[in-house]
Amino acid sequence: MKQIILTVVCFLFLQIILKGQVDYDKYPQVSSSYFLQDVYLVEDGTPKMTNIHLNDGFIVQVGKSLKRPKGAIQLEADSMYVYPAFIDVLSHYGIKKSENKEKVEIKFPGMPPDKEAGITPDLSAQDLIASSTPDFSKLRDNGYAISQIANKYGMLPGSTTIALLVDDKSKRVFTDKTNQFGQFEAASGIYPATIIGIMAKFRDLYRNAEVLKKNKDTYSRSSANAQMPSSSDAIEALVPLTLKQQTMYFYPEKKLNTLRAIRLKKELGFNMNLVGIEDIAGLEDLILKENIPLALSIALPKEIKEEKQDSTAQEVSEEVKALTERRMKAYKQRMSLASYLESKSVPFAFSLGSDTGNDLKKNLKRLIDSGLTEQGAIDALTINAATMLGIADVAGSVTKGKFSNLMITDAPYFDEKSNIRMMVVGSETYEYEVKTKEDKPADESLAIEGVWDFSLDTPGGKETGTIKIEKVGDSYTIYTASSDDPSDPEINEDVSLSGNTLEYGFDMTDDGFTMPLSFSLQFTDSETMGGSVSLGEYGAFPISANKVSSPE
Amino acid sequence: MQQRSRLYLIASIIALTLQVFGQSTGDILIKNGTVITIEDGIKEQTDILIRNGKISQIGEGLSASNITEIDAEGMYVMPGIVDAHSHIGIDAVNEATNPVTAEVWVGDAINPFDVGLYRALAGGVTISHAMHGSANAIGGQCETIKHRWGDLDPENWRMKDAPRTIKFALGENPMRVHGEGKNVAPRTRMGIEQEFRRSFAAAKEYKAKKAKAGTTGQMPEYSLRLETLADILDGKIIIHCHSYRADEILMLMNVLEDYGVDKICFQHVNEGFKVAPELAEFGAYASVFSDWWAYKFEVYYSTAYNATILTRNNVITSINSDSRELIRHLYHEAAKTQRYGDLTDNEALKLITINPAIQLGIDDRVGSIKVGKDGDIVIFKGHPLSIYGTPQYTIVDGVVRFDINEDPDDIRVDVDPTVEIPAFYEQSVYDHEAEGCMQGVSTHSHQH
Amino acid sequence: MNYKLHIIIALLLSSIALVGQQVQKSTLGSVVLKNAEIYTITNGVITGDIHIDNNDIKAIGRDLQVQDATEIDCTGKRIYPGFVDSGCKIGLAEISSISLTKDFNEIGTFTPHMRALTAVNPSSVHIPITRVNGVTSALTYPEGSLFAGKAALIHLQGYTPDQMSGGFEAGVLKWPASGRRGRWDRRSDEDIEKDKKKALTKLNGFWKNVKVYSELDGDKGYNPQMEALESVANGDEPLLIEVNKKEDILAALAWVNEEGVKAIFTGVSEGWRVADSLAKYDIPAIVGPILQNPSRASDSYDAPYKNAGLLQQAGVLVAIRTTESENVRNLPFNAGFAANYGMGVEEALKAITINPAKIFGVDDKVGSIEEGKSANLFVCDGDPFEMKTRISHVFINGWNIPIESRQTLLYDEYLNRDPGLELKD
Repeated sequence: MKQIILTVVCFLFLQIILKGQVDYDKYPQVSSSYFLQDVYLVEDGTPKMTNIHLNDGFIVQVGKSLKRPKGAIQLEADSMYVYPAFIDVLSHYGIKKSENKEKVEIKFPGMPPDKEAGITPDLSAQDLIASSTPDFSKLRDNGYAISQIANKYGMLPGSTTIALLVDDKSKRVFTDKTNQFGQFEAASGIYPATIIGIMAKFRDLYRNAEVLKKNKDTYSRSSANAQMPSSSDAIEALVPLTLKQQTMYFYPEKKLNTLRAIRLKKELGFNMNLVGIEDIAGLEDLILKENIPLALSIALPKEIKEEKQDSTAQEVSEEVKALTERRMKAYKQRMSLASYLESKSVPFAFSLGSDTGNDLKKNLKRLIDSGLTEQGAIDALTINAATMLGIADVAGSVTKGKFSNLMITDAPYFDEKSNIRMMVVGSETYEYEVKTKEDKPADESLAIEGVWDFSLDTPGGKETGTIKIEKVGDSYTIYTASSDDPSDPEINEDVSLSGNTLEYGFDMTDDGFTMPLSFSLQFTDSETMGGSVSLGEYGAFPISANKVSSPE
Repeated sequence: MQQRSRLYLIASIIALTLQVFGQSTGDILIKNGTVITIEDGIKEQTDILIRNGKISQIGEGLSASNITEIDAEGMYVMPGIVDAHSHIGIDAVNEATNPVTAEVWVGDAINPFDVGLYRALAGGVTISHAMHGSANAIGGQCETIKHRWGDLDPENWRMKDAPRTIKFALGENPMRVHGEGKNVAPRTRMGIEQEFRRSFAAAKEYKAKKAKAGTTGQMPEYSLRLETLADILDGKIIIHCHSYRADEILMLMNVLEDYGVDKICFQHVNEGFKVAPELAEFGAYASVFSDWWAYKFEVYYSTAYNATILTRNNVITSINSDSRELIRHLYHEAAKTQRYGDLTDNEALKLITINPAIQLGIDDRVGSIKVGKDGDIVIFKGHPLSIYGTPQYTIVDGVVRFDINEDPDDIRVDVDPTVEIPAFYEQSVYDHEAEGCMQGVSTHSHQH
Repeated sequence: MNYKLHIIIALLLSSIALVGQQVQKSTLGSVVLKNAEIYTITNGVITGDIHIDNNDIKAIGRDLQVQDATEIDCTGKRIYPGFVDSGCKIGLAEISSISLTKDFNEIGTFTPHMRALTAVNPSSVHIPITRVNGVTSALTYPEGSLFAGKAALIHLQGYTPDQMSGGFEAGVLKWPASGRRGRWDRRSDEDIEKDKKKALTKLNGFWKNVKVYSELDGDKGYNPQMEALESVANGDEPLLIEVNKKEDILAALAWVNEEGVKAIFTGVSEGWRVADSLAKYDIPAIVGPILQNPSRASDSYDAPYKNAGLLQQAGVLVAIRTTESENVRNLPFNAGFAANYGMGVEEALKAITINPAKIFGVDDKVGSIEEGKSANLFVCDGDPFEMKTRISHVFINGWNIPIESRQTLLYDEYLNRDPGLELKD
């Protein structure tokens, strides 16, 4: 594995491209050699001060007596904390549902084309993200340097790709068609539309891939003028899985589906890792006894307060008390899953799925409160993840010879006030300003969803428009539209309310001219708000808005 | 150090909640009951000893050391009730997208969390035949499950070694789903016949191709569907066919005769009484409702005397539930044959014990109280065919799974921490009957 | 489409024709039922005779001698008043998968003027099948989203709805419900709450108008929706309120008290949780089916079996319903389950005889065996809750009903089919 990866990486790093035009807003880096002086390296739980030398995307040396070699750029990280950057075992980052797909007329719902039925193991995630060129900053901002990315749609969405989360497109991907991704996603109204249909279809496809391989082998041995065996694209693409050249990363989603995925694996004999595991209460030991590598979801259920000390509340019946107690017990069991695995010495990783990890630290801390050790949490995000992905020889720890993937924080990561100050991903470095404002918990008394009419005073005159706020989970999706063009709003997803403040922004491009807008909105109450909008270098201008409608 | 001990604590909390009912077979001594053996008369004041889940002794004055005893003095002890048609305990019922889906298998969807299973136990049902629905002419394979409430491993619910079964369906349901619903054949009973014929023909051809592959080395494209159909032709799978009208029942028997298939149990078979002599001659079984009719046109000319007429014509007949409500009182459903007909007590009880066991091919294991059979027992206070008969204990493989004296209200084994108080369901007119054969097909009315 | 419709109608007509083929007809006259154990319900168990003279019970006593009366020897037999199903669809629905055979659900939210009695089909095949099991009367009711229409008490004998009428009609309100409608109902808790509130707003808006309408004097013009509920607003007629979940029952109770409505609650699945409140305000409860699943996953398996008994023991006047159409015949078994799970036989019998008669205000005519009451009764050979028990005679309004239905006719024809297999070749 290491050999393959190194070859691919070196190839990517060495390629020289003469572009047709030159961009003088940028300058080339003079060196891809970096030096970290007097940093606290956090390994096995205790921070130790040391120096680290990185070159060309790799860790050259770690040691207290190490001196900055000539030609190495010293990174501003004095007395900061260095962790191996996080590795996500499976996400759908940058994957978009293909739109403007021509509507396929399906005459027989019982035999739809594979693609319509969500059977696309021949699709490569690399191709999908290459076409959508996502900005990886969201994952990186939360500490990640590597993610295995998979298509999201269908029962066999396609092969995965392990990506280095760098902005430079040419340096991103270091393995392709690494693994397969699978889930119990039923096709709507067409075959397979149920869990039982999916199970059967899976078996059918897998056995056909085995038959195909056998027939091909027979064909290559025989001199007879038989026909070259062939099959569908989907079945062809599953052959590496049957040969254990790929592993099936399976997202069972629901508790009992976990056992169903295991059944398929045992019956058919492929390699499987389970990802996105949430609640398997009661089935823990059944699952553990199969020794299948597990990646837990980083999503957690809403926090339940243990006791409501509300003396004014109505007298609670014995029955309700008992039900509440059972629920609390179930909640605790769910929250203890990670620590239970740790107590059983079962290594596990985390997977993001469709998440971007904004709540990563918060949720890890909740798991730690439920008994997980800090080191257990870090291991799950680093060395365990690397091991699961088969890249532990090049990633997952700060070790000589491995990728220089580092997360650098200004205090121990789990400290309330710690901030990520720098991410080193391969040969790229990304620095972060300390957020001046502390993240305040959202003011829960505010109900800000709805449509707001805003008015913005600029030197050029009054701008008006609407801001539509929708609640999605714990955060908001915001549609900002000018009155001139109400049908084409700018969309900001995953915006969180901090205290009574909502901050978001986007770029407006007009005729080649780009203006960054950043909104800072303060809600007086659920009906009125004020604040400012900064327009790039032009400064900030006051905005005010009133709610005109609330959601039904 | 502190962290460590905390971890152990967590491990032990979880371990405690796991596998409380982990064992799947047990030992039990039932004392002094009136034992309704089904196949060997009624034995007063008789004991039954179950060892390792099997009935090891039946007699008077039995004793054993270190064993749980149940005092059944004044109570009726009968074999666990077997339901030959049910859809509880499974997460999917209908793969309704294709008129032929022999490859799907509801055994993949067993859900040991379904409280309906416990409620069935409370009604004395120890085994149910979890079936695919009736949307397709050839639906999926079914699963015979043992009601091991508390065991969270779906694998342990499967009755190992029970023969494979598959669901077929005739008449209005497949016609409505495919013909009316999707505008693809079959839309008529004529079309349904041809679904069977073309499927069996394809399976025959597939078998031939596979046999030929031995010589050429090139295997034919694998088809789990045709593999399954071929297994039916080879007699490895018992057909359980949703059916109502006399004509369609005759049709299927003709098709099966043409393909040399003889293992068939007709399900519902509301007009079975009209062709009882033909069913008996073919050796087909019938599994019927006690009194359901008129929920659609093809059951308008039904009679609650169906079970009696079939029994009197020597058709092995059972009474089934097809409903998470009826499964709670199949003993009551069986008793209705004494109002609608004149079956004896033993004949009526056979409808829910040995007869369904025969239909599922498990009569060597269950369905009567006999040494060597599984320790599946239900103990009634009051006669099981009386309205005042009340199940007290339900025992599966020697393990008490229902005990009326230890029956907390909330018996869920899976609690969703995101739900504050379990949801309340309104009961509307046909709700209690809306979850049978057509589950998973977009209809909310009363169609079986 | 039209073609299909013709087929359905043709098929239905043919079924009606079959009913007409019944050989036996009901008869009316002077009948003495001799030497039976008479379960009067209101006066204990009497051994003796009953003289039925045309429609009524003329006399009850020992050794009744009546000139020219037909005598029926009932030695060793029991006589019970005809059973009353307090909530079902009989006569309003024939084949539930064929919507054109269903007459219980009109379009619209406010349809209190829809009368079940108008649509009762005296020729429904369900009727003979039901009454031979001792069920002689039923409250058949419409369903809807709010004010569904008027339920009607009918006796299961007669050639016209008027001949069948039991002299009681009442409006049906489906109380805005906060429960889930079925396992397919995936609405969020918030959405359920919103839907409930919306429905409550509609209810109160409409009701305000009904009240004002009831205050108006003189010619009020044509306003059938208001007119249908005027007597309810005046407190002259009761209102049937379908309500099941605990919180909804309490809300309905508060509304009823606030508005001064004379209410009868139906459904009442979670009545056992609030039995004391229902008793305190004297609200009769029509519960059932008894043979139904518990309402919540966390409820005990026997909660629905026990509900009727728990309500009765708290002091609530309880009646039992099946909600069925073709299987209203299972009413005695529903009562039997209630009896076995805490209610006791005597109270369970009342819940399908005298209690509904009281609730519907017709206890001067039905619900018990008393001189002067209508002759609604049946003769059987044992406990009528037992499946084994055979019913030998049924009288409805004095009409001696043949113990025969399409289902018994099919039994007679097919038990020993002739030809059997002989003509096969």
